[in-house]
Amino acid sequence: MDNMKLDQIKHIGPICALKVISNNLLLSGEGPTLSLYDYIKGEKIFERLVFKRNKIHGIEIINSSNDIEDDIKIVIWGGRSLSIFTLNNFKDLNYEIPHYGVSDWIFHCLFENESTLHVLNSHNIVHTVSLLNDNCKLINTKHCGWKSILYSGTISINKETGKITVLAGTVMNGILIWDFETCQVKHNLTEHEGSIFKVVASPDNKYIISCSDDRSIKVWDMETGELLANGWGHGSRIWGLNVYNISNDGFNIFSCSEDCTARVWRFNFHDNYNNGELIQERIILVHTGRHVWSLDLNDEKKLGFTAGADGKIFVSDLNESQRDGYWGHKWELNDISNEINCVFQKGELIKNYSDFGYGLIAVTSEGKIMILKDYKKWKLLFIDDKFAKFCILKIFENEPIVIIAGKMGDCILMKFNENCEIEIKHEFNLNDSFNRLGNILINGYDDNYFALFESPNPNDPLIYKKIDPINLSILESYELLKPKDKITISSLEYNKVSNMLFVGCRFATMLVYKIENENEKNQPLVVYKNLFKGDTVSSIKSLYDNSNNTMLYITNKDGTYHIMKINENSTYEYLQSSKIQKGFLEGHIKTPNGDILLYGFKSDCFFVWNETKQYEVYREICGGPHRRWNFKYWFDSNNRLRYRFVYTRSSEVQIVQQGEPYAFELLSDGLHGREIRDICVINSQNNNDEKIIITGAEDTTLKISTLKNDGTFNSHWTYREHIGGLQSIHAINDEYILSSSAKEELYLWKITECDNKKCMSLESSLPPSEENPDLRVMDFDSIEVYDKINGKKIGFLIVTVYSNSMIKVIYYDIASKKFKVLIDDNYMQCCIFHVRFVCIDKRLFVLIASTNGHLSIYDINNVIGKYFSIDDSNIKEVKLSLNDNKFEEINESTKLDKLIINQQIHQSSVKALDILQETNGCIKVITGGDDNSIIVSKITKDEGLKFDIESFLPSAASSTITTVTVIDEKTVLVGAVDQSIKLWNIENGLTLVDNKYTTVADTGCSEIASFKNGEKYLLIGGAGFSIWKITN
Amino acid sequence: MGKSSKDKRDLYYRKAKEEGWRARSAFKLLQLNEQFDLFNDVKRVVDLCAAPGSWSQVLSKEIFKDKNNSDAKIVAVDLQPMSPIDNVIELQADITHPKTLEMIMHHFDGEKADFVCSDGAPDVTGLHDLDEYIQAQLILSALQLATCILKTGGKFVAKIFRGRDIDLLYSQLGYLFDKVICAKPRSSRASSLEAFIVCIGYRPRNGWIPSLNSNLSTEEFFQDLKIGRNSLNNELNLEFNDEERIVAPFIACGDLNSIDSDATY
Ligand SMILES: C[S@@+](CC[C@H](N)C(=O)[O-])C[C@H]1O[C@@H](n2cnc3c(N)ncnc32)[C@H](O)[C@@H]1O
Repeated sequence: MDNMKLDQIKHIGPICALKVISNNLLLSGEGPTLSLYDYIKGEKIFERLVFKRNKIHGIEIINSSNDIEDDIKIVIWGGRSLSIFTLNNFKDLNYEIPHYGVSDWIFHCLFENESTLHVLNSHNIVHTVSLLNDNCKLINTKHCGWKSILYSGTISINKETGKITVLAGTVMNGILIWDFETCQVKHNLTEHEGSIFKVVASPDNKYIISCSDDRSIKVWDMETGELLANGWGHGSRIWGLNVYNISNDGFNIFSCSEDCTARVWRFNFHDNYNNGELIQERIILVHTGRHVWSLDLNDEKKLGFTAGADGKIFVSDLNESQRDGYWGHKWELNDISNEINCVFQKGELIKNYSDFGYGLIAVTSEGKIMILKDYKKWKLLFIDDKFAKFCILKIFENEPIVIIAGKMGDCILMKFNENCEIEIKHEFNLNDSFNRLGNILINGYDDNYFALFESPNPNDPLIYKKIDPINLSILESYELLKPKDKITISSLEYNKVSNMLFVGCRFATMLVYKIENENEKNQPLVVYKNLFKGDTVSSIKSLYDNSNNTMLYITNKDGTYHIMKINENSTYEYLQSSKIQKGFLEGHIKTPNGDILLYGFKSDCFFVWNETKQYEVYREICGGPHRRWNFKYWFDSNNRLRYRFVYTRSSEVQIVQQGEPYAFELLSDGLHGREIRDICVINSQNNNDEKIIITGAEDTTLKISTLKNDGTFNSHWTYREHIGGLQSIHAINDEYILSSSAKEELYLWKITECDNKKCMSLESSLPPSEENPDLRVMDFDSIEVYDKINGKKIGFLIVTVYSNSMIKVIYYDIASKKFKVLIDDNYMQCCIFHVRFVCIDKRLFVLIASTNGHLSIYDINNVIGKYFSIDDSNIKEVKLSLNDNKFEEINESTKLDKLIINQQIHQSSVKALDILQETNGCIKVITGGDDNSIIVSKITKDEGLKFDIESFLPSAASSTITTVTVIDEKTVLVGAVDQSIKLWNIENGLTLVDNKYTTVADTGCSEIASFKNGEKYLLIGGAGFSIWKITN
Repeated sequence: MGKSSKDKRDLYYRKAKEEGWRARSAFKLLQLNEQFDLFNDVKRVVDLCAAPGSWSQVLSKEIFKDKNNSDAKIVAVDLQPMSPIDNVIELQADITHPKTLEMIMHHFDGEKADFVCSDGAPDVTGLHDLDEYIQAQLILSALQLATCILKTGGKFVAKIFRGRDIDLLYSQLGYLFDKVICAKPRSSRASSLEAFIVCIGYRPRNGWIPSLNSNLSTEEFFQDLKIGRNSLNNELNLEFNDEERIVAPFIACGDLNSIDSDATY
């Protein structure tokens, strides 16, 4: 018998506990594994499995011998389990971690001292445990006489008096506060609605802070039980909170919620407790999906730590303004007027800013040109009427060269030195070319600097000027003719590979020029229109890699971005396209480590978003639509992003420059924010040592990642095209995949690689059958179709099944990117879960499995035979070819031919299915159901087809079987919601080969990745993602 | 847990509206009854976690169909308030609180009940293990009441989510009932993990006299009842893996031709 075995090598999933243990160390509970991070260096130092099954839900520590880190005593708990050890024990692999338990779920543990631990359970009972001589002994059990189920609870100790208080959050509005010594209930606080999800005491034990179902945070007086303040703001339920920064004035609260955000609140003692309101000071959006469950604080260094369902650990700086190099200031116009000793006229405003690296240049609506030296002191440079009312101010990215221009085409180029003094100045005007100026765009590459001038007159050409960076003289000047349609330019880039100039415009248009002969009128080489559905191309940046391709990163106002590849013949394709969740994009930044950051605006905020890792880097509330702003960024010696942002808000000038970060932002990358619903594995086109993994989740996103044959896993991009939660993802071949979701979405994606990342782009989508699509595309299958004569791939035959019993067979034509529905019919009135094409003896069938527990097979040869022939007799891979020209004639869809098999095998839904094509021509179907059973059935050739059940195991798992994956000719993997993953041998009956427990709850999908070198990995998805090595 | 139930337009929802049930859940109980003949000989019932009340409606209609039914009684309990239903005594309380169980017992005044059911579902937090645990606690509270109030041979039905520890519960119920079955009505979505345990033939444990004591939590209540639950000991060395696990037989109920709750139109 075989000895095939499963070993988990990686797990990414919900994080339910965080604990800061020093000014550089953090403990994190990642399922049953405890991890230790250094958050200054941004490294994981150590990890170890500490529980067998239970997830770690809480961590507390005690450190009596203050300085010696290794002596820190740690208690971790989760479910009914708990364990106590020192940091030293934890790191010592020879030390066996002890495992204890109580008979009820644990909500909190507290060390009263080194040898006494209190444990609060979910029925409001406290067990006291003695820890003398490294032994755990239950010494006491206390309660307050109220033993209903809790949703949260904390044991709190007053550090001065040693008095212990229990704070318990019930399911029916109430918070019970009871004195541990006397067991007397002090307060029953009932002003919340619904279950109480967290209740804690302030570190000085004077206040109680709680949150609940009702989305409010409440502050109560510990002594009197009086409700002092409410905090409203979170958009969903609040899961956690804590108090920090206590002073004579008040304190701060750090909270985290189902709305993916963490928030900072202020409670002031004076002002009559802010009139009963908590002031919301900051919103931190760094998690995706849904839940941020865990948080902790470093009060001394003012850092906030959050983690949740997405597996990310994020460190937020709660005291940015105290970091080295931070600079934040605001000026009223009056302040500036006083500083420059010059009166502003009524209604005079600052219209434009440009940051040249040593200071800032600004111009007012009355033509006052001012300098903000070192970002601190204003100086008047000059006043010139020519720049009043309308003025353009632009700055080169890497040179302190500024261009300022007026409405009539008067321009001044200025170069500044480190003292913010003008070094060189060059004035010119554009009268030769046009009499009105509309806009200027500037850009540069290597040592070349150029500007593009646009007149509002559609008949005027664009003027391109190349500028000498040393003496600011104009080196070259060209006229670029505009196309006939009215255009408005918005972004500019030069590409070195193709030697072309790209001009982005409004209405999703892009112009391409090749600049060759001076003074000649250059026609655009190409005009790309309707590049995407949205609006303005807001930024273009060349992407250079080892290939000789012309590639551009483009961002668009509508929140989409693309990597665009321009082919030799001027056609283009998108290698990568995606969009942000909300907001307008202004530009993109690539960090030295390859992360892509996007920046822009949403509602009243400016934001910088790390698209690669999916978190907000920076957010500044800067007001409404008529924004005046300047964002300047650079990378410091540690390759970290630094930035300065200047903006006008209600006539005040505000500047923020971020200081040197104290800690590392992201300690763990995580993956999806909600349950993973399907996994798809494809071969990397040019690397046998890696596979491309596409995952799709309830959070509606798709992610593309790579798995190397040594087990390393890296995520590259996230896609937000689907509106509904993902249902299925399958590969057609190594180049195309399909994904489907609720809202009747079926998307075809093309996989490529560029900028050192795997990427994909939406190629086409199947139009829904209803105006208000509400159906789920449950599953689909596909076969490649070849040209009969030249053998080239020309399309795919696809079968899709739906939640309303609909079945469609569709042909997709690669060249025209169009779908044609060949068959459109219904099975019965139940939801179809699975579909496969099966080919037996050169005949093609459709096999489906549904909620009624049936396996059903349709013969589709009559319909399919009209258009296609099955050429290849290789049973493992069906080869279809299209009969000449028939495709054009297909006008309307037909019905399905006869249902040749319709047999109930499971009692209710067939939840999992995979097939195994045997060499002798028959097909094995392995199914798992809601009824906990596994069935192996066999389909063989007969007069029609013959269907037999080969083996049946009724209680193969203790709950619904949700995934079946064939591993090889004799082995299948079966996963169930009871979190079991089992390998079964299916040669003769069903024999169990291996049985493991997975930390992935709501276990729902699996896939296998087999490498050329023989390595085999199993991927499991659900509420988390884990990778297992399969060995023999 | 499973997929979010977003679609309010499904056929069961509409059918419930038409037939006057307060919730589509009514069909779950009706289909369970079709399969197991639950209502046969049933007169005194406790409906736990009953709001908005469609199970109580079904029960009230069934039990009080013939008018002179003096010894019949239905007590319905929920955290949420419920609008009145004919012949149903309604209590707003937390069923995990021992005092609530006392209150219910009080209404029965020493008499036994024929049927205890609970369709309870907690506030789902997304922490799958916690959600499953709280769900299990709701079932245990219901079971606690059942052991005190159910007549020998009585029936017990409760909603379950079949997560990783469901086999523990099956095994424990096996000590108290002749038959324990996991049933899935067709009106319950296949895409959700919901199912129902149907326990038939209550068999009080020999020598164990259940007594409600508002000082005991549910967990403590079951501690000396030998049904394979681990109980707290001084060394805190609970060996969870030693706890018995069995898989209850599965039965899908409701006619195959009845509406499929997963198919949306
Ligand atoms: C699915 S609904 C019940 C529907 C009901 N069977 C019907 O047919 O209308 C679940 C109910 O469980 C209740 N519940 C949850 N936890 C509870 C507790 N600890 N005590 C009482 N009721 C609870 C909720 O308030 C909710 O109304």
